[in-house]
Amino acid sequence: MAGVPFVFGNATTSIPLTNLDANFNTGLTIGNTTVGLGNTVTTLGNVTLNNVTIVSGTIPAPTSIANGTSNVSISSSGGNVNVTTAGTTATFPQATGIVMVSGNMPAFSAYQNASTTVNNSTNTKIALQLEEFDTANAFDSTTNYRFTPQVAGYYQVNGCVNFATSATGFRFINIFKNGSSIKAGQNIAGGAINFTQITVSAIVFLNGSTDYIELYANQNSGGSLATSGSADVYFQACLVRTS
Amino acid sequence: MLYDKIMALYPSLTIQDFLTVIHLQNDSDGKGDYIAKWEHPTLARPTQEQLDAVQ
Repeated sequence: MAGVPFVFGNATTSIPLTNLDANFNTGLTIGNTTVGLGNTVTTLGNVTLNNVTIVSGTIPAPTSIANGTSNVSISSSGGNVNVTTAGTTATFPQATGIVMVSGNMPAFSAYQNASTTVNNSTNTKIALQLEEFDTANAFDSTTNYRFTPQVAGYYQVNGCVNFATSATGFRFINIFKNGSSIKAGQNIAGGAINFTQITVSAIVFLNGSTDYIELYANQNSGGSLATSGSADVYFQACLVRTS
Repeated sequence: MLYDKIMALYPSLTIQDFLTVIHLQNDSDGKGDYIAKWEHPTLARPTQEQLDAVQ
């Protein structure tokens, strides 16, 4: 073998020369690929590498990433991302924005513990002291009774107020945004023996920093009316789409 | 209540006025009712002195 150039200075595992023929025509098999010693570029398949450190260069983006043990693969096609698990593929269309998960989608539901007195022809903020849930701690149930979420987007907002019995006038409720009415619900008086319940529902954009919403009620029975029924006076909102 | 005082000063006001050009408000902050909007075309916004004088 004297005179045959061989340099394996970078190999971490020695290669017995008996595996090579005298003319170096025998390739080495790595994974399922035979590597010719004279090749300058060889694509390897079915190779498992452990404890690999890449010190330079760029790894090109793969078209598919698979985890053989959990049977999960991720691939792309036409800008879409496909996630396949157990043979079922979910496609996420190409888009910009923030992926929303339960952890960053604020939602709250609050209701009254003590009734609010609404004077005649006076928009009165409904005090909602009890929280059914408030996932982002964005509803103030002690002082201002307002919802100030810190995620910008479009919120589904629901409000309901139940008034004490009265046969006179109209009843109104309003969603206030930043101190002004933006959506309203209205009903006529329920009568001398019936409560009057009003609901309002709307999709409202909130900027995720300073915007807030509140629930107000009004009535013109001629005197003061109290809201009635803990479960019948509530205010809710949840994020349905980011901005 | 504030509504009654305003009506005592201006008996000609209507329910419709309080839905359109005049808005009374209470923010449930312990400060009571107040005039949030007064855009009546002919009647001047009552002063606090006028309101306080109404029994």
